Amino acid sequence: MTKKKDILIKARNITNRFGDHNVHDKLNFEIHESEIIGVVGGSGTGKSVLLRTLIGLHKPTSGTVNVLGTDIHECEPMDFLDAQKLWGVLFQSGALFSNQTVLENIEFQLKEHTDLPRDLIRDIAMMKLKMVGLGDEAAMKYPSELSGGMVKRAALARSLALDPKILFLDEPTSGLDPISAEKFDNLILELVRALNISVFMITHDLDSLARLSDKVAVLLDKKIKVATLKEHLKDPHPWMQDYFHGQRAKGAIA
Amino acid sequence: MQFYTVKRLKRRKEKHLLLKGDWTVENLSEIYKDVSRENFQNWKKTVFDGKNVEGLDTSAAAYLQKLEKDDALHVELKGFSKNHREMFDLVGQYSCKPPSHQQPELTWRTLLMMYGRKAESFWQLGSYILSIFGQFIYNLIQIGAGRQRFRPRSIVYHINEIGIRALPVIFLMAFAISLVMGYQGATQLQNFGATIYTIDLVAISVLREMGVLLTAIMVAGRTGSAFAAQLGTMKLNEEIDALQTMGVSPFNALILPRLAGILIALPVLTFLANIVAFIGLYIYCDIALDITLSQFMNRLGSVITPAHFWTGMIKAPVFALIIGAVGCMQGMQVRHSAEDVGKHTTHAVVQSIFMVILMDSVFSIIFTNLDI
Repeated sequence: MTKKKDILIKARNITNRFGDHNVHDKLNFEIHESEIIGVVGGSGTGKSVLLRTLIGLHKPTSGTVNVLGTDIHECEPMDFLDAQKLWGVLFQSGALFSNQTVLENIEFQLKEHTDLPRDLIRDIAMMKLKMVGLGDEAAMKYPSELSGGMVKRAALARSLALDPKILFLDEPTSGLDPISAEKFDNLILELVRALNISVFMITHDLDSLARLSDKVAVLLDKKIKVATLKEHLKDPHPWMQDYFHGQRAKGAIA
Repeated sequence: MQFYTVKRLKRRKEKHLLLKGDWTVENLSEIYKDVSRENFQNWKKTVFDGKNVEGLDTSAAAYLQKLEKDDALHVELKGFSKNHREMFDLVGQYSCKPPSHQQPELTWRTLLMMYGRKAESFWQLGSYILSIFGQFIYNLIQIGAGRQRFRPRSIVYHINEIGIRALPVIFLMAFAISLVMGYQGATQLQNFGATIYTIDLVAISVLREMGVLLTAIMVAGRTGSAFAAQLGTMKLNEEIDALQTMGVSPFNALILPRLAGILIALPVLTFLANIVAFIGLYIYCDIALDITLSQFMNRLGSVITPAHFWTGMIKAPVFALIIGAVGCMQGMQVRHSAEDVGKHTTHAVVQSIFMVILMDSVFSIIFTNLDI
């Protein structure tokens, strides 16, 4: 595809300040169509704050987040609702509703935002459940009865419920064993390619980062550097050297 | 907005729907409404022509496929682009029947089982509370023998939480109750010209019943719920397991200080509530009944006896143990989710108030039979 990819989310001059502490300083960032961006950075560099800013949960100290022409932090609630349909979010611990079964969790947004009949909603939800590799037996279970990997899968199915254009993943493979993590990586890759979704993925898992991401965004010195992994490897900045050339990185980025 | 146009080929008995626009989940409700109104019965087949469809997502694809699979409708999908056909393949690969939700049949057997289970769980809760009392005494003995750690700071913390922070609300309640009872009593006694007996009425009922009962109910609502919510949240967060692995008994570290705290705080609160109730009563008598302070004190002194005082006070530690044990027990019952915390917190309050009132009637029967 040589055609220039559309920009879905455009963040301009984002500054986030907590007390005296500047987390982001006039940071610019975009998410393009069907592109997987891995986001890395040390603790406290504001990865999660950036995610929350992009999806409108956190209002930045200054700066704008533009989604398809509307500034989501300044627009009318109805426009924000429209913008929200553009993305699905997989929270770090899944954030499945504990009082609903897995299937009900996936059905939730369809019930809230459409007037479709129950049996069709159920069919669609079941399809999403199968897509993430969960079976019938998981459908009627409650989140507390699931293993860690199943929670992540169920949460992924829920975030895909309304066919989003962008998927926000907050440490999708944290807490999974290497086999489950690899399977989860494959799953994301497969679904994202099949459904043509963009991904914004915060991760500490260098294997995932190397396998999935088209581009890597590094949060460093209150700014963000977006480039391919190869370009980052050549960056002389000491933190970059430590991160991409440490012992742990060697196996993953070989 | 229309998402398709209809073309009828009468001779071939075919109906063609020429789809257009975005067939996505956002529009699907509208699409569903329109398509449901179409007549499928009178045609040999109905063709959904996807030549001009712009967007197609999984939900819409699943819907179209569902129509196609329905034998009664004779639906054919054709003309979709390569991308869209891939979408159908993807959806088809994962489509399946949702599991049927079986509701267990309600027969006399299942009904009996249900009540049996309820009775058993009730029995278990009862024995759990008893075991908390047992452990409490056992732990006290252990502490006395120096084999378990004594945590005075923790106990003081809980006395502050349960007792001192509850003072304003308890005072307000005691004051208001004595005013209300005084007013009601005086209105009736006025008919006999015996308003001075209002003091008898209110003082005795506050000392014997109202003071301790209402304080206990207030503390059950404030503290019983807090115990259940704190312990339940700690349980969910695996903090209680963590304590256990570090060789610290959760009972000693968490439940004992709470029980000791409430055991000390509730009697003191009751005592103070009684005094505030008397002050409220005096203010009412002074303003509404023109009874002077010396008259009031005289009457009060002749009415209240140590027996009245102690029949009320003796209940306070018993109620305290009930509230504390039920709150802690419910907190420790939390298993799975945040919802459980809420459920058990409610149970803690309802059950402890219920048991306090039950115990109160038992005390009443005992005291009446003993002529106290």
